[in-house]
Amino acid sequence: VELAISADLVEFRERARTWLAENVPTDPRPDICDPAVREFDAAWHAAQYAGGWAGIDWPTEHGGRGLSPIQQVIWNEEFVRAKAPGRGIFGVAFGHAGPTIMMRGNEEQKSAYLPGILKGETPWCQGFSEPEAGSDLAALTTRGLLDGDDIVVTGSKIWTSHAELCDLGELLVRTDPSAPKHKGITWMVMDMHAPGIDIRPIRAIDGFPHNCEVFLDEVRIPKANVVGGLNNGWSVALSTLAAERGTGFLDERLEQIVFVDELIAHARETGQLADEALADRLAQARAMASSLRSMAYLLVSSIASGVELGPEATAVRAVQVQVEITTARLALDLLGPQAVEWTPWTRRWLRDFRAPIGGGTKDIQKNVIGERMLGLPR
Amino acid sequence: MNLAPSKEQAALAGSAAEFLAKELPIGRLREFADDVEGDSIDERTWRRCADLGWLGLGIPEAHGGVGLGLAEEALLFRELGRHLAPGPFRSCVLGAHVAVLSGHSDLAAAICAGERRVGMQVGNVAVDVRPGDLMLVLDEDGAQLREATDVRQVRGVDPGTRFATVSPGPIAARVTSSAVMDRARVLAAAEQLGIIEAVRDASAEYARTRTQFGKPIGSFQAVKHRCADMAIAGFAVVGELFQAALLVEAGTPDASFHAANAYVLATGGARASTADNIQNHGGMGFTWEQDAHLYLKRALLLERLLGPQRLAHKAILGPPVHEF
Repeated sequence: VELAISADLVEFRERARTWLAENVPTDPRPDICDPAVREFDAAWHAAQYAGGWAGIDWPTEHGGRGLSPIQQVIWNEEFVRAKAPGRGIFGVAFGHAGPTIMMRGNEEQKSAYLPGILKGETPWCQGFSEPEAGSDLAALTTRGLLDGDDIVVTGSKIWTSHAELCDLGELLVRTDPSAPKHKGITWMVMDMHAPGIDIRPIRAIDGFPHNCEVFLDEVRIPKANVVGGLNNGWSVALSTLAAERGTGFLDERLEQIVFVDELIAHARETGQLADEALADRLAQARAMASSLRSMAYLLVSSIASGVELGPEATAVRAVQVQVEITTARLALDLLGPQAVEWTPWTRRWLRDFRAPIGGGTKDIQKNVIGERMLGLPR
Repeated sequence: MNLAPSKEQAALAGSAAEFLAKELPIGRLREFADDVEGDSIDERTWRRCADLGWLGLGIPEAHGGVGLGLAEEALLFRELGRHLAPGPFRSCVLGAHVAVLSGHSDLAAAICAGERRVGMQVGNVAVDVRPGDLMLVLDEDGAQLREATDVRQVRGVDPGTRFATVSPGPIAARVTSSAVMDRARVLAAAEQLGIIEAVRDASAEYARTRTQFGKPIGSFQAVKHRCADMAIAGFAVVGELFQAALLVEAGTPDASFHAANAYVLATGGARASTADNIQNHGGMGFTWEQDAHLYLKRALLLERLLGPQRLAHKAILGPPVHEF
């Protein structure tokens, strides 16, 4: 535990701040049902790549900058402070697919996929959940039949975000139905434009189609697209999920700090800070949001000191979920009667009901923490 | 900013934990508690703790301390909280800092050596004050060390702490800055973190071994989730605590903000976790024999130790933006 902040890092932060001030898009991001959103997100990510800000802590051999995780954290801090548009439809590419391919992909796969992610050219989506395989993900039944150099996939996936806008998908399929359920699954890369794919958007509680259902009818996927080995997909999927705890989705966590700042400023302007009950909730929310940042520093410090982080790192997402639910509701209460109008905070409140569900429900997460960290029986 | 303990820091925490487990297990606290007229800790053990440097870890060597910092103090207080250590540790450590900050080097050295003890005012009473001791009087504007006169023991909630009514006597030392309150919040947060971690482990241990309906109760989601909530609450405090310790030590402008964040997070976590720990233990959790109530009571003391939580909330809401 020590404070030392090097001059290099101060300078790095300054450069990030300056670049963002000059380059953050001034136009608002189009709504997600608008096809123009892909162009917007792609242009913004291409600009970050051109500026040298894509893959800051990715190794240079994979096209990254090869800088330290702490620099990635600083970039994310400046990024959210500048209110830069987030990953958008590139979230899965940067947060999941990229780290997974770096960890588990072969050399051909790394050179085929990683540059397109960094340059903001190929948005990815995720085909993990199925109608009958939600929390019990390993119960998935979408099947892949080996046929020559291909695997022929039939089944359906659900909750796939932005499927209609993406070029590639990370897909889990059952390739050995006779094996125990965790042993017969394969992780592969699917071309979202391949014949046999039917995408149907699902309208969510805020009226927007955040996710899709994806129907697969004899979709041919080359065996070369298998990542981490045939029937080894469960362990690959776990490394995908582990990537969530690192710096991959840090911008979303830090954005909560900026949002709480906004709520406090609003409460101050409207005189609501004098309401002691509201002030208590705002203070507690700010403390919780602050912990998302200090946890990132703790994780990055631990990695730098060579400390192997156990399942307790899963707790980061659990806290993030708590903060998201808390702040979304707090915003609504600050709005008072205006909350019933179609305000951005009303929409955000609705949208954030996905927080404790997506990427594994908070209940399943608590099971994982209880079982893997505290040794409780299943 | 590196928030992971160094090897030396981890060793310091490890040896403190070892000493506490051996010399001050909760059984000792219960013995002290049964002797209602007696002290909260015996003189011999107190002097041994002083000899280990525990009362002056963050005090410069020139004033009789060890010359480390608030991060090391926080690591120690996490262990003191985890083991529910009895004795006026927090008020003595804070008192030694008041002595140093007010230029009373001899007094600081006497406190660090365990020769002079300091208790603390909490609301209308004082904790861990004996006749002849000093009493820390602390608010956000500053801190005083006052001679404690007319000390009369009264009953209080925490069996590991002595409570008394005290007439504040002459002022022995005085500081006018918020720095002592910031330190106090960091140390209290560290103790609360230790408590969260202790009840997390106690609950998990019980849930693994207690069988009902033919299964360990930890296999039931309701119990499992309460245990997981404790783990989450503890993990959320660790980074915030050590960050606050570093910033308060360095005297940065956001020190008070982060000290209050750590204290409020840790206090909320300890409040929920100590209550859930009783629930997890069922009927046994309601007994005097089980330790669950001792954690609950210490957590309440720490929650009320530094004035209303709203004081800390004000410190949190102070800055217009959370500066990175």
